[in-house]
Amino acid sequence: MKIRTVIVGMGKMGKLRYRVLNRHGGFEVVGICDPIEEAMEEFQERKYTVWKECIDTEKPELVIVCTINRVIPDVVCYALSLGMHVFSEKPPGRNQADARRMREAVNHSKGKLKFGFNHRYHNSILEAKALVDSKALGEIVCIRGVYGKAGNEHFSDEWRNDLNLSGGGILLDQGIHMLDLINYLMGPMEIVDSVVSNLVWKDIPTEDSALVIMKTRDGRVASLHSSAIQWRHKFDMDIICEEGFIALNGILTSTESYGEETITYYRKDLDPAVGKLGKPMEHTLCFDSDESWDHEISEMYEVIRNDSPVRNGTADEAVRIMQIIETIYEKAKESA
Amino acid sequence: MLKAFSFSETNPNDIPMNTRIWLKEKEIMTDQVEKTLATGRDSDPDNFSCPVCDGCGTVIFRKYGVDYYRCSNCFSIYQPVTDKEMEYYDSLTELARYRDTAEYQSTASKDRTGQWMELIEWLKFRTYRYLGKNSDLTVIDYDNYFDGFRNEIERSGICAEYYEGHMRGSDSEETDLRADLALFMACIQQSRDPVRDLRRVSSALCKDGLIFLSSRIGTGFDVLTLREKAERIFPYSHILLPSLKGLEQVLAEAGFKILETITPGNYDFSRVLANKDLIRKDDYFLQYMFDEASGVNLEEFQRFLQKNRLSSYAQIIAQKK
Repeated sequence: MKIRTVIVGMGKMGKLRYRVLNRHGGFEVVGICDPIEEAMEEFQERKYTVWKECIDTEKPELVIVCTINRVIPDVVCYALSLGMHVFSEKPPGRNQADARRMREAVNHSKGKLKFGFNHRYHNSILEAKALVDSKALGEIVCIRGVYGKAGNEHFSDEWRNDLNLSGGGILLDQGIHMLDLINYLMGPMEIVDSVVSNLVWKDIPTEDSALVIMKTRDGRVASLHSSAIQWRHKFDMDIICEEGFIALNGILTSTESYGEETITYYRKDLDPAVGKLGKPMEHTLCFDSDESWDHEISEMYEVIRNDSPVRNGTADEAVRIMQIIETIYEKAKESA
Repeated sequence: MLKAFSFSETNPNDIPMNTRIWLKEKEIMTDQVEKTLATGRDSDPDNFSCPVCDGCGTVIFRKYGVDYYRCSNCFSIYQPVTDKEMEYYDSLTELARYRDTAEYQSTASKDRTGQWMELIEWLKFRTYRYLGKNSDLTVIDYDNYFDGFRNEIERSGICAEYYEGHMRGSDSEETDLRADLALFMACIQQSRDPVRDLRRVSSALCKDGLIFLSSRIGTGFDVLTLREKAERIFPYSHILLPSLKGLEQVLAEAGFKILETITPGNYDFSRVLANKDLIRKDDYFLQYMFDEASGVNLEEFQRFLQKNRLSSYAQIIAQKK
């Protein structure tokens, strides 16, 4: 029997989730909700403009939350209070308090809660995780990440740059994915220092650049530059291990604007088999399709049907990430 | 899906290894082909259809007096054979005896150990990726005649148990074994019924077990460029050079789910470059490219072939459904 599902928020992400749910085949979308009716014109399902009415009327098993950040905790907590399962887009609210509130709600609910840290399901990340977990290249000692957007001509007017609606700027919107990946691959990070600024987009209240230095308790290091001033879309992650190196370049998206998705790895080879010190033999894997959305929703399906614990995008992980982001913003204020 | 390529720093003018024992193998294989042809065909093969998809083929080249066909549907290249020919060819033992010699085994080990180690590291990575583990596996290795490879893989920690499998003969019947990983390397090239043979492999695997299949393929650069002049294609030894599409099709029919398909071959351009004079004279682009392109560009060309699944050597990993 299919999982009765509603989608709250039918912007770009709501529409994407709708397609993925239908592709999976194990879900029945019985209602959709958006305050803007035009956003739902193309759909046949029952339509609502008020999310509470949608949930109360349809009584779904699962609520997919794709709203603006400010509204996420309200929808998530309400659905959980009724014993429903919830899948919510990231970020988990606007701040740590929002994330804690949602964690509290799921701890007192029969429902499951999963957050959409989708990048974990991209092919290159799955491969990197396998390489790291298999210890083929030893332990990770350093990660360097660059995640850059170009912005757009209406960037200043976007809700994501309205502090009241979003809670933060590019770091919260996009850099959060890379922060999650760094934590996922290397373990809990502490913030050493950060610089959060408006380097180019001076007229927005949120940041357009966040430069972060982190470390683990045992001294392994990581850095991240998350920005909306890259002027081209860029996803790069260097993972330095004791016995080798992994480079993730590009990430497949629907717009294909982040380039081809590849992972290149090589072993430390100081007595080089190929005869050139400093140029070891590389292996590069390329991917021609993105199944991350499908993997993610399949995991949600299995969690619900098998009554098993959420493995990726847990409420604890959400709180941890928002704690890190708040610390980044606080440290930046202190430094400034 | 994964499409991978491996870039390695090699000299494009390097001739692929094993020349010392390769010449002897070539001599024996040529002799075996001639002996088989000399038995004569008392009838045409039962079937000129493609063994992969049953499609129609047309002659693409003739080697040692034997026609190879190219399927118009799946683009696999194949040699129709009679039962009598294959029975006779299989009865010839000189090649097997030569490969059993200490000289052959020690030379092969010396030349290939680096390549084997790379392959084993790749297997470790991929088994971990798909099974969540890369040690203490039960491995069945089909028709491998390299003692050195068996030694390396047994030493690598991948195997808790290592078994030898056989695609043909009495040992190819159903087994009680349920392996985690089946190595089916360069086996499908001798298959007359690839779906049947792959089903047998499937029956030797546990649920969700993996098959690692490698093959020369009929859609690759050096095979399609050199055709009958490709040194390493021998009638009766290579009765099937499947296309990538064909390989995926037979695996699916045999009950496998394809996980990844790559063509990581390193030697396409170097093989063609080494035989530049044998390229057809009216293949003006290739003639020009090999005359004018620099060594660095030719490395990029091989990488292009690898990345776009155009090399003549393919590896597929599939999982038993």
